[in-house]
Amino acid sequence: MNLSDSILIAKIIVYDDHLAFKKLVERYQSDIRGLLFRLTNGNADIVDDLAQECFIRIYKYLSSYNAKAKFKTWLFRIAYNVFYEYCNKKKLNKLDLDSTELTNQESRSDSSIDFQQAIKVLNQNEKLVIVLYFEKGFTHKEISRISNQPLGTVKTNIMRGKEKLKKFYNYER
Amino acid sequence: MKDNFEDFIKKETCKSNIEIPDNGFSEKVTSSLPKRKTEFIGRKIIIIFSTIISVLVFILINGSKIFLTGITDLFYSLINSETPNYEFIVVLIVFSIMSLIIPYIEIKEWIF
Repeated sequence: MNLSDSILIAKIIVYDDHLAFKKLVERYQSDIRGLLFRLTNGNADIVDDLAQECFIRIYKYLSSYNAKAKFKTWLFRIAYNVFYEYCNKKKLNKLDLDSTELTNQESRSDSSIDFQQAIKVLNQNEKLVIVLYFEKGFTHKEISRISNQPLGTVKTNIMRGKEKLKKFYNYER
Repeated sequence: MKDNFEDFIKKETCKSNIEIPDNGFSEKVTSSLPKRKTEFIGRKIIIIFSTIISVLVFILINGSKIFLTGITDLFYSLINSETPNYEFIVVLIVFSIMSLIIPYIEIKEWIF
């Protein structure tokens, strides 16, 4: 029987039920690790470490979740914060995780180029909003909450991201 | 007007959708969870016990009569400009503050 998020959360807060927490992790681990995979340009070495840190933080601060936003939004907010702090801590070179310049030789009309390659042309903010909007299906308002950016900035980044992806895919239709 | 490029991007994301199998990840996370601080239940027991004892003592020494007599004497001394019973005033103030602070602390912890 699949228990809802609210029941699992209640069990974790009230009874410190580790089994309930494990179910929650199983439910969302693919989404969180998928997001981190995209943000780190497919760096599998750090994805699991960041995801683990993310879930431990969720466990510690679960009682502060006040249901004003959807649980998934809150979850992704924490995941993004973990990633952001990691980048600051490691003082990562912007180019390490930021956009990749394309050479003219690279084929962009080849449909076998997957989305992971395509989003490499985006900067960190554009990548985040594009992934959250198109892949994860969040609304602009939810993305604003996750990324702690104003709504206007989110929309601008989506627009800019789309323009860059259009150029990348040579999309003229 | 519907943006065809948005549909295209959504199709691209579906094509390269990442579905990551658990492969022991949730087990690893659950086994590394920090221990929660256990609430000191003794504190609550002490508070309840003290309250019960206080109420019993108050009843046994006929505390209500003492209190009313003290208040009456206090008003009488104020009206007649006599020296009030300062000990009674101090005890009254102390107990008033305690009766406000203790519930405030408990309610504050409970709410926040």
